[in-house]
Amino acid sequence: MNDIAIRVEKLGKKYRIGSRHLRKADPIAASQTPVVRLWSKIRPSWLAPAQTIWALRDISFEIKQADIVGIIGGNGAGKSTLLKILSHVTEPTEGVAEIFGRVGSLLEIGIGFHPELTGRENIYLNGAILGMKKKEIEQKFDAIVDFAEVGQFIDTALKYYSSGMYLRLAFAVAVHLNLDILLVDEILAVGDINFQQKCIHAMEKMSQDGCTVLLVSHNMRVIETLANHCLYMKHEQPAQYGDVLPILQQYQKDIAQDVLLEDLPAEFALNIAKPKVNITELQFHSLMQTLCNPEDTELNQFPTAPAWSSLEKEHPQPASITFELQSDEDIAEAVICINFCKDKIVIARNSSDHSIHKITLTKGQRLHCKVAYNALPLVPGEYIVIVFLLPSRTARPSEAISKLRSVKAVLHGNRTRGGYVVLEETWKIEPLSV
Amino acid sequence: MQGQRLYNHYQRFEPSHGWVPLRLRELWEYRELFYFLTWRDIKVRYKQTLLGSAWSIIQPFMTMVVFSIFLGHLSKIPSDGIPYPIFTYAALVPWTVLAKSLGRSSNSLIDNSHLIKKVYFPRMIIPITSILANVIDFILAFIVLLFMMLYFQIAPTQNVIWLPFLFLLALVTSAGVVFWLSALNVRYRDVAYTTQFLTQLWLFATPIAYPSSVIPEDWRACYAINPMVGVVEGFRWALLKTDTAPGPMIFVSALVAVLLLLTGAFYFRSVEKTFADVV
Repeated sequence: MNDIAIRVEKLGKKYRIGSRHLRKADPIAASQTPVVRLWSKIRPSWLAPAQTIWALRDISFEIKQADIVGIIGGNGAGKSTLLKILSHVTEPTEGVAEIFGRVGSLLEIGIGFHPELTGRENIYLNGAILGMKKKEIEQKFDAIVDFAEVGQFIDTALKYYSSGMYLRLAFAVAVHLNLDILLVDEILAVGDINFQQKCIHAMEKMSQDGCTVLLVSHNMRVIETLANHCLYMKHEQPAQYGDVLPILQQYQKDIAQDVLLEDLPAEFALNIAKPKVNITELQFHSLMQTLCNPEDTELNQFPTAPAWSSLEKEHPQPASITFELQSDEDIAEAVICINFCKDKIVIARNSSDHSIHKITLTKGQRLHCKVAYNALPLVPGEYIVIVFLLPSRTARPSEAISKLRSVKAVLHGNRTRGGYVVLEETWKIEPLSV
Repeated sequence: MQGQRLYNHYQRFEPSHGWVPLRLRELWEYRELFYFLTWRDIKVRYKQTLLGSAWSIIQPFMTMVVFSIFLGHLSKIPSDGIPYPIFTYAALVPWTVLAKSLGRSSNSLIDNSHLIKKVYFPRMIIPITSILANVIDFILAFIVLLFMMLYFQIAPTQNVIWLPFLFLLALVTSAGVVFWLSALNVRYRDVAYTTQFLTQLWLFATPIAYPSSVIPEDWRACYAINPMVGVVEGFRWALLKTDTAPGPMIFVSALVAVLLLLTGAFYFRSVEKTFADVV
């Protein structure tokens, strides 16, 4: 029979921003009348013409039952808006969405949780809000408590829970919903690795039981391992729907052109108002790139380069980072920070870790900087290299005296290994004779 | 079988236009959520307060004391031959249901905006449950009223069987007003500033501190356009044997209350689709 779970046709959602008052009137003519002029002094926003933006436009796709679909795209591409329409929270402005089955949405984890109520009470409340019947909750109550691992705290008020317990409890209720379709919005961004693993296993199991899962995530690795289809949404451009790998590759190609800081930890979401130092010409060079485009870079950067044939196996690889500095002021002491970021994990290095303790900058002077690694001890994959300057060794990124500059670093090689750092180590395992 | 299950839950989302049906069946399907949200409101209401649910009695009781001293004792306002304290308290008990609904429930959609933005359920549940949570306060205040009747040695009349209907009338009035105000409040936060003022005006337009017998006979039906007039006079008539026969007044009040409820419910439904976007 029909095995479609979700069908979406030419779906669009328009939001209005700005004033609603002078929607049709000519704002210039209207501003001539004294009343309007007076009022617009009190409320300047009143005269601003109304604008509309399409958060989502012309999206069409069909999702089959028991598929796990990863939804990716930059901020403002409409991912959350799509999930909101599918979960009936908001109405589309145009187009149709059809849903075949019982839908549950986790647009936020722990919805309706009340800090003053106990864990037990919150399970009932949250379950009811997500559409569970009281009987169902009673039946699954023990399983939920088990999954959440909150045990003896079940009759403690939620406000005394640790954030880990809170998350586990919230997710526990969600996975025990009896659903045909689950919509999940970026909940894996919170919680530790164990929690994430648990969530991923739970979603895999739901899919095996015939549940369709739609998952918004910025974590490409999660999508790669979990999803079997992918929806790539772009701002004001048609979305792509299809197999995971080609779409992920396309997405990564797109963001490589415009390295996005959004995948980085929150501490780097900075807007430095008055940078004193300008960082330019930031580049990352790896041996692989150099060998591919020998005329682009100086080959002699890598004196210890191994033979081409062994490259695929050879890790770590030689690499280097180059950039230029120019200061607007005299600065007696500065620290250059170089951070490698991946999946919100940061590997931080700075100039004071090394032989150079102080960097002195004179006004107007240009400096060329190069940081070379004989062997960059990172697991192959894609990293974002962030470079910025701090006024002292102990300053926090929010006190940076330059804007954050970033460049994408691709380390080629076998991607089967997990983790981030390659450690030099020797293993010895031998039988113990008694 | 799988297919069968799925078709039971077929949903189609597209832009809607014009009048939206009330969809009362859907409200019925979500009846358990009514229960849980009401229970949450009651449970959480007086958490971390010293006096706890005593607050639900203190408010009408202290108003009664102040009214009795200044209006009953000093200003000598007539009370249809009934001791003034119980005369005014019997009116304050149903009045408090409306006053609390105006104050708290009008804000209920904004207080629960985190739910509205993230999960679907019929939005009407939110204002309704916040009114239902006031019922507990009513019951507690009503028990105090019974003790006062004992103290003043007033036996209820057989008209007391009408009391549930009168109470329902108070709830219907509250719901009608709250549907209008809570829905308007989502878009125009001005509502939050007017409710306090509106409650005050309404208090004086309702025969709480004075009997409706001060209104000329010909005008009483007109006066009962304020549905709380019928409720308050009904309470006194059923419990305290006042002479003011509520016949035509109750009729007018009930009609206005139902009208308020229906228009409020339809207005609420027609704008609820925008709640998640503007709240």
